Amino acid sequence: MVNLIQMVRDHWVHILVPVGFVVGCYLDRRNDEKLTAFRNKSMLFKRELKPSEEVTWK
Amino acid sequence: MNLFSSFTLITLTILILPITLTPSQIYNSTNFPHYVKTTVSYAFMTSMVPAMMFMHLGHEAVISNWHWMTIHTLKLSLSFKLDYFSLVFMPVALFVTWSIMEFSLWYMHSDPYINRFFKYLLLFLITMMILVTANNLFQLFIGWEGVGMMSFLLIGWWYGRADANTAALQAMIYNRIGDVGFVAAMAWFLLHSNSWELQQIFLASPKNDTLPLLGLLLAATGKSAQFGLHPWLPSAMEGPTPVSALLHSSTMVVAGVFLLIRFHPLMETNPLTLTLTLCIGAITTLFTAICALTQNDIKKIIAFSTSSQLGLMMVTIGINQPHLAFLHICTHAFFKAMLFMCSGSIIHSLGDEQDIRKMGGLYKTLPFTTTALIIGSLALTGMPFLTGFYSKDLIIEAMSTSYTNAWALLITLAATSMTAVYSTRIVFFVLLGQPRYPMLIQINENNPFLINAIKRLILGSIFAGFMISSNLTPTTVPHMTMPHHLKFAALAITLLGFALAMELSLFTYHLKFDFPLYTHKFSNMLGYYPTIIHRSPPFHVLNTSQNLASTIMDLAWLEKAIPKGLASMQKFASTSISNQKGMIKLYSLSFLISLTLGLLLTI
Amino acid sequence: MLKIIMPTAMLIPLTWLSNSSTMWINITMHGFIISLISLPLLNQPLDTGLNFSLLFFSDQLSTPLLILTTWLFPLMLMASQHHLSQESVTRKKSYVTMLILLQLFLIMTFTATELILLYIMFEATLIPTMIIITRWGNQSERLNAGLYFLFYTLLGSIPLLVTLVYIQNVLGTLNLMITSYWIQHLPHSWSTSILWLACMMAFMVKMPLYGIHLWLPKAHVEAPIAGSMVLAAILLKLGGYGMMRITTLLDPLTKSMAYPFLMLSLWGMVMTSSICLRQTDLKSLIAYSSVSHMALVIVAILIQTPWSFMGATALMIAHGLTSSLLFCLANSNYERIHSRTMILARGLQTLLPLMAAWWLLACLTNMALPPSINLIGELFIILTSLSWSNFTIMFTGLNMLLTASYTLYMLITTQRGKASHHAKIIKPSFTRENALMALHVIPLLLLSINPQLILGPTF
Repeated sequence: MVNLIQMVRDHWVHILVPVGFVVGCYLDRRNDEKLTAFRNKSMLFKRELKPSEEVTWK
Repeated sequence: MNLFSSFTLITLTILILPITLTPSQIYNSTNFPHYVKTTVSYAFMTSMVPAMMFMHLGHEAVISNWHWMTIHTLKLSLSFKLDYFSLVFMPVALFVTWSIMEFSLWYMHSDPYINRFFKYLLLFLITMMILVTANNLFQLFIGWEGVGMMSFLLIGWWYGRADANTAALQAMIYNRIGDVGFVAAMAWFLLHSNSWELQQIFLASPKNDTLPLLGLLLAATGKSAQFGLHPWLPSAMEGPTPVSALLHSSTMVVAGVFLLIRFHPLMETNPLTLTLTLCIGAITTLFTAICALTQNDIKKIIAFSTSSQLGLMMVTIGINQPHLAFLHICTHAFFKAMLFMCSGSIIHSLGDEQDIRKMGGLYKTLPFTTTALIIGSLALTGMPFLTGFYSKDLIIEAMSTSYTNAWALLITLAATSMTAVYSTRIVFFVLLGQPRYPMLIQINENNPFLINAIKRLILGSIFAGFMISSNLTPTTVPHMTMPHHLKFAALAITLLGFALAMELSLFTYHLKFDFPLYTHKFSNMLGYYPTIIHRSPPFHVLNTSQNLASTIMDLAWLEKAIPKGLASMQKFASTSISNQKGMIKLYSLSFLISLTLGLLLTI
Repeated sequence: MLKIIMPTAMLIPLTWLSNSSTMWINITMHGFIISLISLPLLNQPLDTGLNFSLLFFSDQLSTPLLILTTWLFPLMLMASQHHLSQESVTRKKSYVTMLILLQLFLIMTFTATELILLYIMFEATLIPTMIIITRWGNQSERLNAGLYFLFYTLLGSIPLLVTLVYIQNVLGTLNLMITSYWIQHLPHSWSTSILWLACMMAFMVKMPLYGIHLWLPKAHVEAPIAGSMVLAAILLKLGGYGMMRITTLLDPLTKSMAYPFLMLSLWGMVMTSSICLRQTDLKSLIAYSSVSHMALVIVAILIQTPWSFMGATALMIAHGLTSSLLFCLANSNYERIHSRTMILARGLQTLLPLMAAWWLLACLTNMALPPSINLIGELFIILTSLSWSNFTIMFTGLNMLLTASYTLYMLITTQRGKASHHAKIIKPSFTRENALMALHVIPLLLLSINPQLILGPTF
């Protein structure tokens, strides 16, 4: 148990960069959704989702 | 039919195998050199299959396999051209290299890095194979530069010696001058025929192609050590003897001639380039033959004879007989490699003595080497029915019946006669007469590696010319009829050379000049060419780069103009505009005065 | 794009929160992970590039440069471990932080959509670089070098700011994706010529163009190893990148305005190569060789044909890896011999045979031996300049010759000859150093198998 805590204390820093990656991905996706929403407002580009589609911009 | 391309690829793949073994344990074992040698012999055997098929059926092919990239309309892929030239040259080069590798097993046996040496030799051979089989200018350039780079590494093999490094650098720089021409030609062909594939270039045969052809001629001049760019070739003798043998027989130096042979479909329609080739070749063959006459280093003499033969090949291209030039490349490979191996054997036996004045009488102590050396020299001079005869005689006949530049042809004839002179000189000083070397030397040539290697090349030097020329289909119309004096011209001048050299050499027993003649000095000092060219232009270039580029421009003008200039301008502007001069006494005084005045006025 | 920027930013807390013993390995490892994240960008299915957001995009031009940036970051860390070993932990960490900041700015420069963001990030890279040079350089001349570096770049780029504001006023946008469709042809007049100059000069100073290159040898020589690596490999390429981006705005004018700069580059290429022939200082030689290679890139960009852009992009990447490799090698010599003078390091082949192999490979790629990507770049540039004017072959050809000469001079002086006595007690080469060289060489070799990746948007 002590070893585990020691390991966590030594190596917890490794989580930082993956967290950054996950946060980055999340923000990127938020941004995509925002842009898609904006796009879906336009009369020219907006369309309904097809059955097997998740997003309209792919 | 399928064997044709597959066996060629097998040959190339077999050669690459030992290189891929570098990371494995085998590379560290003492068997690696033997392994490489055997590999090359196998490659020779497999390469004979397509060569035989070509001789009997006349097959030619282009293999185009791995697609590298397509840029806009230019497709670049790995493509091999299997035609007359590559199919005949591959077995010859592999045969000669096989012997040279066996010879180096003997010659380099005490070198601690013999495994690396063999790897370099093999890489050298592979790059030459790439050059020969390339159907694509880019692939040809890979082989071309690879050969140059490997020659740099091999000539500078003994890297602790300053001479070896200088020679390696010379080789690379002279070759690089040639490469400029090659790159220019590549660029021009891409712009004007939109392709680097050889057959497409020849099909498109763009007009006004003098510029790229001159570029190719420059490239060939650099690689084949033609006059103007020749000094690296004798300097390259600083490398180990097997390297000299490989460099001068079947790889590297013939690459330039080979390039021009490849491009003869374009060359033959361009009289300007042909004439230039003829003249450069003629000058080279005469000049280097003159240089060879008075050298005392046995390897230098043979090196100059190579240079002279290369000049002869260029002359042959100049009179528009590329197939004959190619035949001479093939036959020349056998006896030139053998001559170098003989000189290696002699040098090794005499304890690294290269000066022919300190040899003599070796026909008793080294009988086998003597046999080989005499056969090689006779083949080189074009003795009837030895290998050299089949190409050299034809070249001289074709030359004397052609109606181009008579001066060029005459000096080539003179050079041919000199071939006999310096060959006689080697035989006379090295083999005949009394021994002039120190007593306590262990002379031993009874090593199977040496004997087998030279033996195979002796057979090659005797029979190869006959076999090649009687089996290949004739490509150009041979000269059927000519007067007797032209038919015998080659033989006659060679005999004249022999007789003259013999007489002159016999004189040396009795007569000695107190001081050498100017002609002797000219020949012995290599026409003063290296002395002048290796001193003056580098001096001026280095001086200019120091004075103009570095000191005047970078350290003075550019420094003064922008950073220093701006700084001083700012300083001047700020000091002249500002009221503040830092005169603290004056300021306090004026402050005091105004204060007093104010006080006075208020009171 | 945030998925690359955010992890890079997280490297800073990683640095400061790591143990001093595991700091190097942690950052290096995560640096490699980040470069792995950036690799998928090589897949560019569309001709227009990938839009990540309103601010960031990447296309075939910026992706190779971006990946080069992320790839070189861990390599810089590996290279600078030894010379920082004497420093305290805090200083090591602040050094690494500077490198991370630089990395962050560079990523944003290469992926910026807005020209003004590109400009700001372009300027922001000056700060960490300046600190690295002036704080961790080896000699007192480093202050001077830092000054030169800063002021040359600033002076060149301030007109660009003014011009960008003007363009924003006229066009209403500075978005690179839009401006190429939006742009009107500029008329020929004095004011547009000045506009052209103002736009190009910032990047030409950075490249650097011959005549305004003085900052480069000074900065390269005085900077610590990581500084030299990033300067040679990436900061110079900012100039090329910016020029290729901004010439779309200056369309018909480049044709006539390019002449003096083309000639200056052709001339400067030969001049700087010949300076290399006389250098005794290893790092200075490599720095001048960078100037001469970059002159080729300037020529290619100013000629403005699809092939020349391909050559320019390829040569930028190839030179980035090669010059960085050469600086690493020079540094490994310096750490053993304690001098940059080449003649003192002679005969090292006998002592460090594996290092000699890396030297050989580096020199071969530097002198553009086929089939390296350096050759592809140089060949395309020579080709396009030949088609622009046949006479350029005199300069480009002479430059080929000089490049080979000074490269081999460097190789022979440092590796060949007899080993000198003072060099007999040197340390053997570390695994870290060999790995460092290998990580430079492997991309170079692999890219020559598939050069399409770095041929840029005009491929």
